This record gives sequence, structure tokens and C-alpha cells, in this order.
Amino acid sequence: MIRNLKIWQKLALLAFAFSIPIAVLLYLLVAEKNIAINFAEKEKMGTVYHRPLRKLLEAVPQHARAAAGSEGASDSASRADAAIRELEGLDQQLRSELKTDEKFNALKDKWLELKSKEASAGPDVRRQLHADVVAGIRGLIAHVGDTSNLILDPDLDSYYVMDAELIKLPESQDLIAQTLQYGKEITARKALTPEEKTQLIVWLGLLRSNLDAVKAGMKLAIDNNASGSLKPLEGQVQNYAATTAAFLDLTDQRIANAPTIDLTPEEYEAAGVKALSASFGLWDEGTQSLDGLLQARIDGFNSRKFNTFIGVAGIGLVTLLLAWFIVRSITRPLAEVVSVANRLAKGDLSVEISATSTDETGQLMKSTGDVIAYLKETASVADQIAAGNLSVRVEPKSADDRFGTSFKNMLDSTLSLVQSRDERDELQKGFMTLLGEISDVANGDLTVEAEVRADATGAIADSFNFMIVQLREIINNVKETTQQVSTSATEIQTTTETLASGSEEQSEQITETSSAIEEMAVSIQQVSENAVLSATVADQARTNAKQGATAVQNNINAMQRIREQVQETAKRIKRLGERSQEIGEIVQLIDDLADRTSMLALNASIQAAMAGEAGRGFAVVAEEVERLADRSTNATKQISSLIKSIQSETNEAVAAMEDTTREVVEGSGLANEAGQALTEIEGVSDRLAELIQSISQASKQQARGSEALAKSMSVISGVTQQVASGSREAAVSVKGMVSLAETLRSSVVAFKLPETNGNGHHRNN
Amino acid sequence: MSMTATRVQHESAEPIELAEPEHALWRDSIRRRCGLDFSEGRRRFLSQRLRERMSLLGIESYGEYYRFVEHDFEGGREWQRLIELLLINETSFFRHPPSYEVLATYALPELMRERPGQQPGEDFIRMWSAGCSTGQEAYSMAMIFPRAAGAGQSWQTRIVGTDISERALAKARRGHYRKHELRGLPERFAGRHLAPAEGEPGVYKITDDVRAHVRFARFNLAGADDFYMPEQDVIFCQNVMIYFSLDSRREIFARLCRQLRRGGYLFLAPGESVGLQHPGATPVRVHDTMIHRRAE
Ligand SMILES: C[S@@+](CC[C@H](N)C(=O)[O-])C[C@H]1O[C@@H](n2cnc3c(N)ncnc32)[C@H](O)[C@@H]1O
Repeated sequence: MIRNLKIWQKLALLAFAFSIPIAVLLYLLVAEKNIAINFAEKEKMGTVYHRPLRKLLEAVPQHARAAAGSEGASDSASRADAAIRELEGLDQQLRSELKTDEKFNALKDKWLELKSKEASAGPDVRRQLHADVVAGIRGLIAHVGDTSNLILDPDLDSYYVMDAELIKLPESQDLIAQTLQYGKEITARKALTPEEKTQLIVWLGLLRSNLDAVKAGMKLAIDNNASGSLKPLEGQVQNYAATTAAFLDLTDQRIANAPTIDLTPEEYEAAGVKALSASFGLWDEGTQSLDGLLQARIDGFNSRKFNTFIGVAGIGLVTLLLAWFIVRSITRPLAEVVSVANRLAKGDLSVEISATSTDETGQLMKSTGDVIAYLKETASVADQIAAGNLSVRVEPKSADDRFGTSFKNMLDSTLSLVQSRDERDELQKGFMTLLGEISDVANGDLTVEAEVRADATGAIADSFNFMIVQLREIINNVKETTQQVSTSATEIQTTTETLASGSEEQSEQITETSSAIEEMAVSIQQVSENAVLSATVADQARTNAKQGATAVQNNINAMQRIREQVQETAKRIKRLGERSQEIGEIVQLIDDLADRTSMLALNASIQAAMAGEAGRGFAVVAEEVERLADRSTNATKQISSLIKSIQSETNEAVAAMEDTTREVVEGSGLANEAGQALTEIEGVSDRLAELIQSISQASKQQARGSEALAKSMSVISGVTQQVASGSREAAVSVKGMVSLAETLRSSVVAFKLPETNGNGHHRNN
Repeated sequence: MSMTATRVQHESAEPIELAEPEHALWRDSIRRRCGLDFSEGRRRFLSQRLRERMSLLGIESYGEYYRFVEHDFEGGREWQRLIELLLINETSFFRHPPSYEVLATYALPELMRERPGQQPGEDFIRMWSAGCSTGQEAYSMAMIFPRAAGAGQSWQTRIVGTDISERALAKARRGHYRKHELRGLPERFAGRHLAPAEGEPGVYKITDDVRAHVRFARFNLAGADDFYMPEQDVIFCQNVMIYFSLDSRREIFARLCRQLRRGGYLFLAPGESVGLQHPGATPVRVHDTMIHRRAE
């Protein structure tokens, strides 16, 4: 189809074909710029979103520091609310780009939760609530950094500013705020616990490294900022570094490592707030600079895009003009030659043509002119022959002059014309047959064989057949070799797979083995802990046993005392018996006296009856009676005293008896105690037995563990051997493959140099 | 032997080991979150595993990584990744054979005897493998159960395996084990309940008749959240508490005892019940194995 197009159409096609890559190039250039512009635009979205987040990050810790319900608290809360509202508006616009809705909603919920709960919450809960909100803010900052491309910023200066804005400064603000709140409480109490000290030291360390990182990053940013627009940041950085360092030193020397804490909370808060506001100041300035850098970058890309357009359009225009001229310079002379040739074809030799240029079309025109002159000359010769003039001589213009030669031959061999035509027909037929036979080879059929005939085609057919044989051999060789190569390759693949699975298994085994070892270590540790415990239990048992022994001893003593008491009682009762005997004797005496008194009284009454005047006798009796009466009074007295003593002795005996019963009760109590102590000892020794049992069992388990360990090791070594033999096999396979490749290469060398082959063949013949 | 030697050498050449006060921060945080005890004796192990994560994340100090995990922006994913490294999932089928012997010949028969007049729906025994790792313990319980249930009886079992490690649970649910992971499994069980996995030479899978009784779920034994599950007849919690501090051990022991049904049994590994007591559970010694029984 292309062949039938006009020259100018062909050239236009050519121009069109060339313009495609140019258009693609242009498109790519512009697209690249657009990507960079979109990238920076998205980064700007991130900085826009960050602004209210930063307000929130300032307000929430302030709210945390202010006492709940105070004026400071409600002020910071209303600022935080404002920031949340601002964020909400932004989030509506940007959430599809920055994918923030989920995290933003979570943050908002946390803030609402804080507000609803803080009035009733204790200080710990309140602190946790604030920490949650701050974590949410920082999470959102980092998230926006990720989704807005800020984290991928391509330029060195803006990257480091971004790094500070996105990561380092929020971290420092969070840390300073936490340290400040913590330290403020400590200064209010004027006391520091070891845990608080540890916490402060950890924070101080984190803050110091953060500060160093900010300083280093900012320096890098400023040093690498070609436009110098970051210069004003330097002052802010210094201010930030100085106030933060002051705050750190204050915390370190006056709180964490101070012998006594004499710093007032107000002083401390002032230093912290100063550091914080410097940090936020740096943040604000940094955001502005970052925006500036991003805008500059966008502007730069836009102007470069415009320049690209203009440049490409200009080049296109110039090319078009040039193409038009070239087309014209070719088509015009050609049109002329074509019209001349057309007339020539009709036999019109009267045409004239002359060259207008020296290029190929000019030469074409000149040659056409020469052809016309030659034709005119030959026509005039032919006219002469036609007129019967056979004496004209025709000489070919050159060895290549077929027309001239033919003309001459026509003249020379008019007579033998019929014979030579027959011969030519024969030859042509032979060639046609041969060609038919050969053409199959072109389709890859090597089974054909050309017929060897006696005519001129015979030699060609013969050498063609020889070539086919050679070709067959080579192709066969190649086919076989390829087959072998593919088999070898498969072999290698299988071996490699075995190898790979082997090493995978090995690494798994090693992981498992190290797990087993770790568990064994822990279990051994537990055994030793158990041993410590059992030592304590044994100790307890000894103490208990000692207590038991003491109790038993006490018991024995008490029993001894009981025996003594009982003996004493027996003695007393014996004495009591003796006394009763005495009483009996006395009672006897009194009986006696009473008898006698009654007898005397009888006598007196008789005497009184016999002699009334002899009253003297009565007087004697009376005396006697008096004396007896005296004695009986005495006896009565003695009896009463005796009775008293008996009574007291009896009392004593009763008391002694009571003592005895008490002692007995005490004794049985002690015996009980002893019994209990002994039971306890029993229980303790039971537990002791269990402990010892457990220790022995655990060591058994350990033994089993090490057995498994040994087994795993042997598996590992087996696998390693497998790997080794696998690689050996692989090496052998590879060697085989190399030699096969060599064979293949030599076959192909033969195939690629048909001339040497052909020469050889001729030589062989 | 040469392997341990090079390992020690390697470690001594390693940089900065976890030191105070960061060690205390990490130790307390881990203990609070999952009960694992990383006091002095396991400090080296802890620092090794922390460094593994830190080098992947490009974090250089333990303190920084601590803050990273505490302020985890990914909803606890980093914490889970770390804990997977800190856990030891060592286990095997029938790991402490006497425990299974006692389960089949004493605990299960007692439970079945004490529950006469089975109501429909009452005729199954619930068992729990707490800290099941890659599932061998739960499957062992399922395999031995028929021995106690006897032939022709309607007793059924439901077994749940729980662990904190997602990785171990994934493997447990899959129920595929390599040949060497079958150690400890008696021949008769292996022949009946394991079949070669298709397309994976050297791998065996638990057959469906065992698997049908076993479920797996994630549960942190030392976590604050309550886990809803019915009271259990049998609880196995072996070789889990050795990794915990004594305080956490006491708490979990009480929790396990509460989770037992009246008359149910708790199996700890030998030596693990040292120092543990609970008013609701009495220690029982059967064939030299200590188990705890919840009072009626
Ligand atoms: C050494 S394995 C013991 C496995 C099995 N019970 C046995 O005896 O063969 C300990 C298992 O306890 C799990 N684990 C550790 N702390 C846990 C916690 N707080 N809650 C649940 N599982 C825990 C580990 O993930 C581990 O898989």
C-alpha cells in the first residue's frame, strides 16, 4: 500500500513517524513536571493540616498542667476546641487525599472523652486521658506526614525542615510538656522518689538526643538551602536550643540530681513554658519556610514546564518548514521526469529535458536526457537498416549495454535464431523444476532431494543435495544437544530445589533447637528457684521442730510440778489426819471430865441430902466442880483453835488442789500445742517431699530436653550432609552441561560459515 | 558443641546490652502486658530479641524503641511482632506422659462417674489447653479422650486451645506437622490420627476425626480483659507459668482455679505448683503426679 503513495505523502508519513517520539518525549517531560508539582502540592496540604494540630499539641498539655476547673484550664480547653473545629473543617476537605477521617475521629472522641471525664477523674486517670490525646495528636501528625508525601520530600533542605516539623519538634514538645508536668508536681512536693528520678533521667536523655538531632538537622537544612531563604530560621534554632538546654539543666541540676529541691513550681514552669514557646516558635517559622520552599519548587516546575512547551513548539515549526521545502525540491523535478518518461513510453522521442540541479533528481533528469539521445540515435540506425542499409555498424556503448549488444546480436545471428530459442526453453524448464524441488527446504523440509540431470542444472542439484545432507547432520546434532541440555537443566533445577528445601529445614531446625535450649534454661532456673524455696521450707520445719521440743519440755516440767503438788497435798492430808486424832483424844478427855463432873454432881447431891449443916463438903464439891469447869473451858478453847487450824489446813489443801487442776489444764494445753507443732512438722515434711519430687521430675524433663537437643543436632548434621551431596551432584551436572554447550557451539560454528563449508565441498569434489 | 561456643563468642562481641534504667522499663512493661518475666536471668535474651526488631526498624537505642512500642501508631501491631520473638513455643505431643496417663485413667473416669444421669447436652467434657503453642497439647488431649470414654458410650469432648502467639495459633489451626515434630507421639496414635499431607512430602496432618473436637483462639492469660468461656472440666497449663514472675503465677493460678467447674482438675507441669495455693482447689497426688481439684 505504501508503495502506491505519492512521494510527498511518503515524506509526510516519515515526518509524522518522527513526530510521534517527539510528542511522547514532550508528554513524558510535562508529565514528570506535573508529578513533581502534584507531589509538592500534596506536601503543602500536609503542612496546612499540621497547623491546627500544632495548636492542639500546645493547648492540650497546657490544659493538663492547669488545675482542673481553673481559669487556665478553661482557656486552654476553649483553644483546643477551636483547634478541633478548625481541624474538622480541614478534614472535610482533605480527608479523601490524606485518609485522615478515621484517626481524626478517634482523636476527637478522645478529646470529648477527656472533657466529659476529667471533672470526676483522679490525677492519675486525668494524666492518662491527656497522654492518650497527645498520643492521638502525634499519631495524626505522623499519619498526615505519611499520606501527604512530606515524609518522602526529595530536597535536602526541605527534607530536614520537614523532619523537624513532623517528628523531632512534636516529640520534643511532648517530652518537655511531660517533664514539665512531672517536675512541677515534684517541686510542689519538694521530694523525689527513686522511680521519679529514673523517669526524669530517661526523659532527659531522650530530650538531649532530640535536641542534638534538631540542631544537626536544621544546620544541614540551612547549609543546603541554595536560595538562602532559610537563613532567618537560624535565630529561632538558637533560641530554641538555648531555652531547651536551660530547661534541661534546670531539671537535671535542680530536681533530678539536686541534694534538696528548692526550686518553686512557678520558676520551673516559667522555664518550661519558655522552652515550649521557643519550640513552637521554631515550628511556626519552620512551617512558613517549608511552605515557601514548596511554593518555590512548584513555581520552578511550572516555569520549566512552560519553557519545555515553547521550545518543542518552536522546533516543530522549523521542522515543518524545512520538510515542506525538501518535498518541493524532490517532487517538482520528479514530476517533470515522470511526464517525460510517460511520453517516452508512448514512443514520443521529441521530448526535451535538462537538469536543474546536481542532486539525485538532477542526475535522474540528466540520465533521462541521455536515454532520449541514445534512443534517438538507435532509432535513426534502425531506420537505416529498415531502408536496406545492412552496412551500418552497431557498437555497444559499454560492456553493460544490453540494448546495444542485443541490437548487435540481432543483426549478427538472425539465421540461428530458431535453434537457440529451443535450447533456452529447455534450460528454463530444468531450472524451474530444480527451483520447485529446492523451495521446500526454505520451509524447513530437509527430506527433499533434487534430481541430478544431465543438463546444466545437474551440478547445482548435486551440490544442493550435498548441502542438504550436511544441514541434516547439523540440525540433528543441534536437536539432540538441545534435548540433553534441557534434561541437564531440569536435573540441576531439582537438585537446587532439594538444596533449598534442605537449607530451609535446617534453619527451622536451628530455630527450634534454640527454643528448646531457651526453655531448658528457664526450667533449670525454675528448679534452682524451687531449691531456694525448699531451703526456706526446710528452715521453717527446723524452727517448728524446735518449738515442738520446747513445748514438750514445758509439758514435762509441768507434769513434774503436778507430781510435786500432789505429794504435798498428800502430806497435808496426812497431817490433817494426825490432828483429827488429837481432836479425838481431847474429845475423849472432855467426855471423861464430863463423866466425872456428873459423878461429882451426883455425890454432892447425896451429901447435901444427908447433912444439911455439914455444908463444908458441898463447898469442896463446889470447888471441884469449878476446877473441872475451868478445865473443860480450856479444852473447849483448844478444840476451837484446833478446828480453826484444821479449817485453814483444809483451805490450803483445797487451794493446792485447785492449783493442781490448773496445772493439769495447763499441762494438757501444752501437750496439745506440742501435738499441733508435731502435725505441722508432718505437713511441712510432706511439702518438702513434694518439692524434692518436683525437683527430680524437673531434672528428668531436662534430661529429656537435652535428648531432644541431641536428636535435633543429628538431624541438622544429616541435612547438612544432604546439602553437601546435593551440591556435589549439582557440580557434576553443571560440568556435563558445559561440555554439551561446547558441542553445541562447534555445531553452530559449522552452520554459520557456509562459505568455508562450500569451499571444502568443492575441494572434496 | 562448637556451635554453642561460637554463639557465645558472637554474643560477647555484640554491642551494648540492655542496661538500667531501660531494662527496668522494658521488664515492667512486658510483665504488665503479658506476665512474662525478664528479670536479670533473662536480660541477655531480651536484649538480643529487642535488637533484632530494632535493627529491622533502624532504631538505635532501647529507650527510643520503648517509646516506639508504647506509642504504637499501628494499633499494637509492633507489640505483637515483638512478643512473637519473646515467646518460646517449645512443645511436643504427650509432652509429660504421666499427666496424660492420669487424665485417662483417673481424672476423666472420676468426672464421668460423678456425673450420672446425663442430660442431653450434659454428656460432654470440656477441656482447655491454656498456652497451647502450636497445638500438640490440645490434639494429644483429643487423642487420649476415647480411651477414657470407652467404646459405645455417648461421652463427647470439646477442647479449646488458647495462646497469645498468633504465629503458633496459625500453625495449630492448620494442624500440619513435620516428621520430627511428631516425637513423643505413640505409634498407635500416629497411625490412626495422622495422614501424609498432599503435595508436601515429609509433612503429616491431623485427621478430621481429632480436629473436629478442637478449636483455637487467642487469649492473653495475663491480660486484664475477661475471656468469656464456660467453666472447664479439665485444664492443662503446662510449661507456661515457668516464664512468669511468682506474682503473675499466683494471679493466673487463681484465675485457672476459678475457671474450673466444681470437681474439675487442673494439670500443671511438675514443679510448677510450688508456692501456689488456692482455697477452692486441693492438691491431689495420683501415681506420683500432682494435680489440683476444684472442691465440690
Ligand atoms: C513452652 S510453650 C508450652 C506449650 C504446651 N503447653 C506444652 O507444655 O507443651 C508456652 C506457651 O505459652 C504461651 N504464652 C506465654 N505467655 C502467655 C500469655 N500471657 N497468655 C497466653 N499464652 C502465653 C507461649 O506463646 C507459648 O506458646
